[in-house]
Amino acid sequence: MDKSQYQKINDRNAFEYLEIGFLKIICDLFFVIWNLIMVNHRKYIRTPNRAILILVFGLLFINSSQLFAQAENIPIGRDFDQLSWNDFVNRLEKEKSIRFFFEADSIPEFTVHIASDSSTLEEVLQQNLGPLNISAAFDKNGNVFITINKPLQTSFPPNFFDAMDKDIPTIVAPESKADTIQKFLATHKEYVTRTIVVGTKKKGVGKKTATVSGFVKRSEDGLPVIGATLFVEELKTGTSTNVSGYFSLTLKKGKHTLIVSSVDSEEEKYEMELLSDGRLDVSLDKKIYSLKEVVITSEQEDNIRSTQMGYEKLSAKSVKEIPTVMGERDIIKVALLLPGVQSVGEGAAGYNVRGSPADQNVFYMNNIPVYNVSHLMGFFTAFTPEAIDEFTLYKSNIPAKYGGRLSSIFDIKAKEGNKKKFSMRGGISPITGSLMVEGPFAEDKSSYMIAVRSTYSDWILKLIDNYEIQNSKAYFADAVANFSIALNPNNQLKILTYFSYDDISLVSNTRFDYQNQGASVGWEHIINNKHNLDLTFVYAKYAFNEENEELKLAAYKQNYSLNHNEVRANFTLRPNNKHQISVGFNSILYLLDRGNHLPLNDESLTKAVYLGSEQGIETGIYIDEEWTISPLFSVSGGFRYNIYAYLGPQTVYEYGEGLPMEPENIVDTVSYGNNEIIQSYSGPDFRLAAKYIFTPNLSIKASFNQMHQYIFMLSNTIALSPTDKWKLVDSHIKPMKGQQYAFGIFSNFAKGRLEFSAEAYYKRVENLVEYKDGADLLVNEVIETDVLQGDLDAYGIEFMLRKPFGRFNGWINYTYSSSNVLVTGSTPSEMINFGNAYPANYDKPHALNLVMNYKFSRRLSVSSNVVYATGRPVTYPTAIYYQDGVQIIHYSARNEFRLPDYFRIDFSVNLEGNLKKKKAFHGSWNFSVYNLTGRKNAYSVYFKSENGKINGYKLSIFGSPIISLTYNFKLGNYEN
Amino acid sequence: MIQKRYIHQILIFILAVLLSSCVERYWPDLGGAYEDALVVDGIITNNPGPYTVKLSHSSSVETPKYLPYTACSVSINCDDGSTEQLIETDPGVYLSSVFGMQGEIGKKYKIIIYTPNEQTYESPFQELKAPVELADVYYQEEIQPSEDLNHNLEGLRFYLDTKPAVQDTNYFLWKMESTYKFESSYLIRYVYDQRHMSVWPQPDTFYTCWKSEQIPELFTYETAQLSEPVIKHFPLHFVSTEDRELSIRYSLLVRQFTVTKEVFSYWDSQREQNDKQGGMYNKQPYQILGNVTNAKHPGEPVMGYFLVAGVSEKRIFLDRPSLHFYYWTCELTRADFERVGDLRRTSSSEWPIYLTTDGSGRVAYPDQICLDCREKDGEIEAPDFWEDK
Repeated sequence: MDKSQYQKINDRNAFEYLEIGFLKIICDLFFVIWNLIMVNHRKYIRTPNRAILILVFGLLFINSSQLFAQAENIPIGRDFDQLSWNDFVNRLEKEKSIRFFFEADSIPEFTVHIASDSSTLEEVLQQNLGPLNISAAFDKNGNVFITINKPLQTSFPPNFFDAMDKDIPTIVAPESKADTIQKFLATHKEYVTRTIVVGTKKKGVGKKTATVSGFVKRSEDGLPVIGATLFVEELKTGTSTNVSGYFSLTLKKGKHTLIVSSVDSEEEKYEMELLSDGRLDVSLDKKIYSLKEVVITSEQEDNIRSTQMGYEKLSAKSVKEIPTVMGERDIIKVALLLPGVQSVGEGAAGYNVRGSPADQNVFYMNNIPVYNVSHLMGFFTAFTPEAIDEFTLYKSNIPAKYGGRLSSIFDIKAKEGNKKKFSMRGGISPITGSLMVEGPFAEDKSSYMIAVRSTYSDWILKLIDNYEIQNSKAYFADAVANFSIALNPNNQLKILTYFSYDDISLVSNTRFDYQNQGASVGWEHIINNKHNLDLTFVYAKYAFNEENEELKLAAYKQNYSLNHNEVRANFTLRPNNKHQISVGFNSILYLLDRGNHLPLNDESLTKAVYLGSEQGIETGIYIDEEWTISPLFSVSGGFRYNIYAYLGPQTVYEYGEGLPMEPENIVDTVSYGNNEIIQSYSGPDFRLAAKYIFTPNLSIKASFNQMHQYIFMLSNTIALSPTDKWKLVDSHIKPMKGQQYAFGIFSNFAKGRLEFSAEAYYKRVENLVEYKDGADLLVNEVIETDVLQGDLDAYGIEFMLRKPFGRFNGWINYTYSSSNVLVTGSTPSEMINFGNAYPANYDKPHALNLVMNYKFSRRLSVSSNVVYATGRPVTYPTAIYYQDGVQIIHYSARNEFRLPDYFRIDFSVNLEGNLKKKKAFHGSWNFSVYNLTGRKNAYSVYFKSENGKINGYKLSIFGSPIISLTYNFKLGNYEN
Repeated sequence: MIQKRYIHQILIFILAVLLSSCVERYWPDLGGAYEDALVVDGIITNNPGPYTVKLSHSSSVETPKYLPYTACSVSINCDDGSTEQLIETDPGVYLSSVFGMQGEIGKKYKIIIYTPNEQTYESPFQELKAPVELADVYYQEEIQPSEDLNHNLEGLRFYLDTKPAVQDTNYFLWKMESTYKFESSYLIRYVYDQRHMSVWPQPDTFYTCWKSEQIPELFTYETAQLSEPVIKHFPLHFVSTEDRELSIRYSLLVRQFTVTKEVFSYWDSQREQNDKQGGMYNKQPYQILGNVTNAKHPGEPVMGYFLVAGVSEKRIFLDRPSLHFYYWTCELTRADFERVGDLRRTSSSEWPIYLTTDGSGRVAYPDQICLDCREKDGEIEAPDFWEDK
């Protein structure tokens, strides 16, 4: 129940404010030291530097005695009677300037009894806690320390200072009880409910209802509070803020009690008198977490009440202690610990969500799509950790404003710059350094946030006693800059730029570089205090270059680039509190340069191949409505209509009627001019979701989604590789269509301390793109001859149990799933696996993830992950035969076998720097061990015929514990 | 389309970066999976016959064995209507007659097999392509850094050049046979046989041998992606000085097969499947079926290939290169001298036992492999083609 009382002392000037804080910290520190000394080393009391002590204590006692009343003397009225301990504490902290310090888990649940109206806090606590063998101690600053058994020493022994210097008149004479109360009331604004008048009588004449709208912001940095709830007590109705922190609420005129709250903020209560339409901006104080509070939560924003399902949200702060490889804080990798998210192997690029291939996901950095999210081929994610605020994963019920991907949306939110003050943070891990700066351009209005990360050297390569590696290079970097500019209260401008870069060279052989770039400019406009208009322009580019000299006679260089140009408009209407309607459109112009395959040098005999370019436009118009039929039952529906056109210039091959698409069956070649429509597709997308709340702790939800996808990745390697290219659907390759049905039960129990959910889904994808065995996709002028389209069938059930709060917190989830692909056709060359269904590469039926965090204190915490999954399906040899003395391996049908099961335990210790409120820098150390047991999990198992013998090999990526130490720092103290 | 992609090396490199990756020998439980299928290994070229077709059964992965498929009836048919019945000369080895069918460029050939269990297998007709001529086979010294050895791996890599082809797109398959001359460590001075030790009259009898081997690697390439239909400096196998192959004189026969696209894609896939395994950036292995199918049950897997190809050959010889050699050689130890006393206890199955002497004439009984080059699968007769310098 640790709250920042200083923010409540608003009748003081800044200097006093700082001074109090400063003294308070020093004072607290001395008491803590004193207690330590008294408890453990009574005989080692040493006289500190006298001059400083005199000065400090002189100031301390003079000032603090004036500022603070003694908490023990606060009168407690009968109105506090019969409150639960927690309510009692909360109310006291809210109404009086008192802070309680205790370990929540150590206090049993009980009800507070108040015997008479004239009790003081000390008496009340004595009466109630005494029998439970719990002690309360008070200091001079309004702090109450609740401890089991022995009371905490809150002041020095009376002769402490005498022993030092009898002449210093620092100790203030005890004040009378009445004086104290008087002083307390005088110096502390008593808790009063603020009454706010919205609108004017004149404007409201003749109307029964009025709309109040505005922003909810965090008081400390002026940033919008997303998802804050506004609840009208009398009407039992309310709303929540959107991504800009904006809300709009239509109510009947008159007096209402408005409660504004959010997950990380203090609740605010207003008496609101609504006269006509008007504006109300709310500033929420950040909740300061005490020992028992949130450390790791993957919040499913109100498990029970929201219509959302198949939805996960992680905030960067909440996952910072989860152990990761090489200490790189990687929020996206943490997604792999969530139910329904898999990858083909450790460190592999690509995420498989609910049985879908990796190219059915899209990653948005705010509005910028990122087409390759891997650093170092997938070991790390290409997002500057310091720049990420949170990310949301939509696995099933994807909002209608998103289209074009069948499986999931990874919506990554960049941090918005602090609008109050300059701040900085950074980190140093074994391989990278990162730095983030943020601050206001104009206070409370406009801010910037710039973050960069880079490998600071590839020194680590030099440590390896291998010629090849010592002479190789690996480099990666990324950067994000986010600008938020308030033009006026109704118009906001948001600008984000994003960049990531990778450069890998191997001695004499191969060099790769690939990069993502992106920029978005968004304008958020509020109309009539009620509706929102968002207009966004997005540019994104993904490009790679490869130089390969491995085979000198065919040394080549190859390039590729994809340009994504998008405009989006979204209009949010709120006709009344029961409906919220979003309408809008987005239109993407894709410009792909399929690249050139050129000889690298004069010695190379490679023929230059120009693969040409591709153009396409994907447009979607949508309407999305959320309708709260009753407080218990609500439905949401979305409709999106997609129109896609594949545009010239292009040369298209025609194949013989009814013949498989193979080069020898080409009968005609048709040329299309610039911007000529070669082929167009259109189709409706549907989103339907319903929620019914049975009890406040139990709800059920169901959803149906239909989506279309017009771009896919040319990839037939097991994991995504940086030379995989995106390709547009064309006249030969049809768009993919996906449908997903989901059903879920959501429950909170153990007084809301545990959240449980079970979600089942069935997914079907038509026209899934697969590749012929052994297809070469890098230099292929006629891709369609290597592509086959089939069906994907996936289903699964995900169980999640979460303890979001408390000293011990974390989650456990288990997923049972299946994902099968069927590619069949009329001739053998149009089939994969002879026309039989086979499990997808990432099909892992059983998956169990356990994430645990235990906080010993605010400074010390430990975390651990336990991960289990069935091994991925593989193709193994089933026979050996000989050809001219050479042994040949004959393989099974596709994915008939499985790798050994995967199992891993990680462990990390996080040590925060001291908790001083006033300090220039705060540092923290993270020590982590990835794969603690050193289990050699199989990444792949393969067979080779070597010198006439078949040898089997197992490759493990992290075959031993990976130990790393990371240092993170920031400006300011622990809290900010 | 063949494209050399070496992304797996990046993977391996990154793994090494992370210091803890490892590749270890591993044998998964294959659950006794075993497909018994007919394996065809046959060839007809424009070189004069006889042509050989070998039929066998596929073997299980755990215990690889060559299992001949006997008592089949095999014939090679030409699209000009001629047919040649092959004769089983050894178990599973079917041979055409010396004066029988001769492969001709531009004609098409196929194979028909009748098995004793009354199944018929057939390949489609394939054209015998005019061979592109081999221009040159040569070698270069190559030094590879080695992690396991305390010295660099030294050796020779062989290369080839072709003559310019007529067509733009040519598909190649190369097979190589190496033959090398090598010597034992010691001359034979005495022989122990029938409980009797006698002086060996000709000390160098088993001193010099020749050994011929198929290079058990696959080499394929196509010219479609080259600016001209000529291959220059195509790397073949590497022979290191860790073995005695290059120690005296080495000969390499390169046979260059000019094949059809179908033949090429079979062998190229096999090559890629064998060479490019292990990384996540490789394609999945898959079932590669040959060109012979069961006439009645086309779904039945038949392995191997009936190859119809134009062939061009080239043989080169080379003497010991001036490299550091690291192959293992025998050294006489005390035990070798002491073992002479145990000769009487040897059994007749071990006889004859060859013995040598050291510089001072002391008799030693070393491992026979140090004296008798046949123990290393050598032949004491030089092959017919052998040319000493």
